[in-house]
Amino acid sequence: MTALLEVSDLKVELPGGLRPVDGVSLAVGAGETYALVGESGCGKSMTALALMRLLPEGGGIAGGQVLLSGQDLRALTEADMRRVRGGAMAMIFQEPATSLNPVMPVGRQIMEALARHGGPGGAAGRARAAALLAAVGIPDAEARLDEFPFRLSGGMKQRVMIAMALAGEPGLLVADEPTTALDVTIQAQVLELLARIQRERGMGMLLITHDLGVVANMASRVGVMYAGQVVEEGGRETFFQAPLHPYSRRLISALPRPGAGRLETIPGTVPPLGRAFSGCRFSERCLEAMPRCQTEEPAWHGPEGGHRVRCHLYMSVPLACPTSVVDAPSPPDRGERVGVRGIFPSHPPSPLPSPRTRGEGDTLLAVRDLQVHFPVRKGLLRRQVGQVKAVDGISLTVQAGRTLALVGESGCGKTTAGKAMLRLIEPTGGQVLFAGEDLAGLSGGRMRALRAGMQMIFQDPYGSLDPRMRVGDIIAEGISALGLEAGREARERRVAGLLADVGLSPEMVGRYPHEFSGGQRQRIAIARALAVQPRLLVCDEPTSALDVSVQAQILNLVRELQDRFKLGYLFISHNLAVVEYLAHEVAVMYLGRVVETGPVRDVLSRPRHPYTKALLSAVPTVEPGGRPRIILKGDMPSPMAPPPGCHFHPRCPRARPLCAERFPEETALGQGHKLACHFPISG
Amino acid sequence: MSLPFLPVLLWTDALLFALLAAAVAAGFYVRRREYLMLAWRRVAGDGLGMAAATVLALFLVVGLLDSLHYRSRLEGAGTVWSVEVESALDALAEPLRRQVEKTYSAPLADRLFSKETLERPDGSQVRDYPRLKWGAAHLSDPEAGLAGDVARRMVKGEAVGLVLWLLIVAAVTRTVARRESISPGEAWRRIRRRETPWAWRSVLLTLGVMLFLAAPLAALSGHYHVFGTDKVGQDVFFLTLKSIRTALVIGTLTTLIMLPFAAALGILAGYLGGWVDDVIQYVYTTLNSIPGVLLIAAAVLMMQVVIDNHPQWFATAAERADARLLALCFILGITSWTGLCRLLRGEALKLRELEFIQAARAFGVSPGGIMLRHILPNVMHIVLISLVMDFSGLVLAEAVLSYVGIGVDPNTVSFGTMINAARMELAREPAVWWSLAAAFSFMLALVLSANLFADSVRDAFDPRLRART
Repeated sequence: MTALLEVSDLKVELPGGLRPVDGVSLAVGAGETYALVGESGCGKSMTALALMRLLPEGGGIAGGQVLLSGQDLRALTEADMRRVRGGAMAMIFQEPATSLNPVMPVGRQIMEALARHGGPGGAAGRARAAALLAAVGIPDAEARLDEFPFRLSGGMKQRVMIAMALAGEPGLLVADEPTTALDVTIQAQVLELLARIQRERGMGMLLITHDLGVVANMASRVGVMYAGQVVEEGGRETFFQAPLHPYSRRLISALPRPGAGRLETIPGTVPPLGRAFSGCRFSERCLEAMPRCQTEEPAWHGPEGGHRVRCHLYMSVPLACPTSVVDAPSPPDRGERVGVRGIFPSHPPSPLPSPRTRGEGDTLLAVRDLQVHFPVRKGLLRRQVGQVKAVDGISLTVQAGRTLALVGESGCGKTTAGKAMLRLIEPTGGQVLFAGEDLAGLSGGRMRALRAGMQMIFQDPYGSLDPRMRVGDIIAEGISALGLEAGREARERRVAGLLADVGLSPEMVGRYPHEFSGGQRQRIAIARALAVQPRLLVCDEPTSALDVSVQAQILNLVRELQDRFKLGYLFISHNLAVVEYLAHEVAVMYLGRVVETGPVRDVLSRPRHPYTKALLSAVPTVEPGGRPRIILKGDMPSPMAPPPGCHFHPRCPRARPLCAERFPEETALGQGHKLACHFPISG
Repeated sequence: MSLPFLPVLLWTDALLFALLAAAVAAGFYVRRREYLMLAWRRVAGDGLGMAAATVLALFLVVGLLDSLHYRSRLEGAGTVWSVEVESALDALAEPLRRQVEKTYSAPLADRLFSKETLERPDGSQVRDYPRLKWGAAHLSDPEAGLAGDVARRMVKGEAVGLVLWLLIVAAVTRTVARRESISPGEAWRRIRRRETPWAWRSVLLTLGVMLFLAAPLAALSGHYHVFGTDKVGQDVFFLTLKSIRTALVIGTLTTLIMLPFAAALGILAGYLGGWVDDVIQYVYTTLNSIPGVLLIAAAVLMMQVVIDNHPQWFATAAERADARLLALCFILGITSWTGLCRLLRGEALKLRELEFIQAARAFGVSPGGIMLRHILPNVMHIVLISLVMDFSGLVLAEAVLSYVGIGVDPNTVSFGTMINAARMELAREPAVWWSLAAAFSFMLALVLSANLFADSVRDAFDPRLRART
């Protein structure tokens, strides 16, 4: 196979002596998808930008060669390079919301891209743009040409971006985290679209992602990047059946799985980019590190174009060629820590009790028919013209020592519900009973007393800590606000104890949040919440902004704390793998209402509601032969104008006329499994 | 106690020194906070910013000297104090203040600018340019000796200036050497190559240029009117020096007065929202839609009537002029808080939705506590930046208002009053250009350095710019 794109020994330098990419070599053939995977900060995106010669100001390619169809891209003038960008090689970005010009109709933006690459103008160009939009699966393409980007949903915008990228009929598509900002059902749509387009056009694709599930579904070849280098490379099947590099293995085993005990974690973080390395870049975090790893940089082991790895462990082991991967040899001196055959390492027996055996606690939080409606006001007199029913009558219970997961796509109202339960947003109706007391009509003083019992952990560890306060003050804030600990010394002791509880050093009290990594910040946020000894924690996507290995650390911590303090969790998440791993009960929300609820095992293994089933099937997973995928049509409707009847019926594959008429009653299926559907999937 | 003078603390003096004390206190506060220190270190490392700061500091020294007011004891009268309030600057520049000519004279001139009828010793009368009473009075034959005398004095002045500059350079080099524990030679090398963490080279160069310009001025001003004299014969150089204080008072006190309004109202509106936000927004939208000069004119005229009707409130003319200056600061402050208020409202709106504020609310921290502990510190950088940027705008505003005649008291010397006087002077034939030129160049230097310094501060505190470099 002649490679469409050949990168050899690419080096990128940024101002300040940073080297985000340090000797990357890879090849992408026509019709092939090469997935570059790794944690944040390992240089994936910089590689893509270097290929496009779009590096940030002051940065530049310091060495190596980039050949696109045999043409040396580094030798081109900027004018020629502009023809290559979008022509021979196009790129789509992570954030569809900011990649389109908001004050220009999408049709004009596509036509601009067409004209740039010698396409037709005028009416012919318009027709061509409409054809492109239709090709990326946008219904009623002709009319959509005149829409402004703000009228389109995130998934639609990403489709428009793809249409623009296709305008120059590129041979190679660079997709930098194309679905990270999208919901799983939309992600499934976009991934399918990308795969289809690639098949139809025989394009090469360089897919950059941190999501191993996406890789397992899309890639033909996989490259694992770490600290600016590719450390392992191989075909998808061989890679996922027997990942070789210790980093790849740990990355895969850090993924949460149902019923697993402690998750594998990778100690430490990705090293800073400015450092000079003497040996293997992963050696500091590697449990299998040998003395020579510190001093000698490992060379490639394994056949070029096959499954190969940069690790000293494989020095004396002949690596099999890609056809006989199943018998991939076990590297010596690795011990029994990591299994070779399967994807998942064999775990030592979990020290934690399995979720099922834990005793039922008392009811901590009972929510009945909770409603949060936001008025929509317009005009000079701010008259109310409508309302957004963000949460429209949900009922839940959280028990001490147990976890209820609230899952759903963005915009379904799950975060609003969580905040309304803590009265961070005033509920419009319904009851929230915390330890038997209705929070709704409580006075300020009584509410403050109850606040100690319920705390929240937020999604974004960068936004949830005041950047101008020291860690000690951040953690002590709740203690002093609620007057829990008199005296400075007692408070300081308590703060030190809390830091130790969440796995940080008590000496860190004097530091500011910006000195910490994302995972450490999330630990600080957890310590802050624990400071007031709550019984209920509302966790709002606490790991969605974190890398897989750090996510594993935080999930382990969250579980440990639950066991130690018998905390009740309301765990808000869109990540079903995390939910399966952590939760006891689950409630699936769609457009402000709970459509299915029950024990995790029941709901997620035998979903009865078509939405739950579609949601589950849309999650990309690394397991071989995962669930058959159901691709939902369209986007979630706006909560301002929910569809009549069952909210899900416009997208539901099983919808019948009755569904459009009235919202289904909740039916109990036993064992706490409840469902709101006229025509449930038979269990 | 028998001081030869009675210290007088005018209102603006008190506030100016209070502000200085607050700045020093803020300095100590910053020293203990690493992230603030970091930003200020970036300012200190910025060559242009430090050059601007040096010029500003020189202006500040002049302004502060001019703010030490006192009344001297009248000779032989026991404890009777002069009604004239003088400042330390007046004392230092005593000759400049006393050497008043009859009317206009050009810079470095030995004669008046207009002809007069002179009586000769023999009794005959002739129309000629009379000799100045003070300017070049020490020369017996100015026609022949003036140029030579000026050149001699300038060279002498430059020599003194050079020595002074070398002394400063030596002192700075020594300090750097001691701080970094290196030899003075090495320290000098680093300063020259801009390898010191502080941009000492720019500071020293600026000082050098300033000394180069100021030394001949100082050397000449004793015997000449370097910038000429104005209509009533006052030395223009002295007037320019006196204007600096007025500009500084207007620039700093006004921001001090508007700051509480802007910060409190902006944060309240942004954080609380609802009807509070509506009310505050209506207030500043209304205020903004009235022509500023009109509002200020109305307020100034009303205040003038009050001052004129209560002469018993003020012991001296200086106090009265000072009251008017302070009132002008108030009026400018009360009418100019809307811009910063709007900025802070927007920022508070953004911060309110951030999760650390939500976390504080989940702990039951009161709204007041959240605004003070979480929002205010997080908008301080905006406050600081807009304060420094507003300064130059206000100095210019004073000039405009005084020009229109609604600015400071006619007795108070300011750039505005000087420019206002120049209106008539430029209409003469030949034109009297030196008042305007002096006021213009000093104001330009002050405002330009304030702007450059503000740019430097803004860059240092702007996280986006930091990310790029």
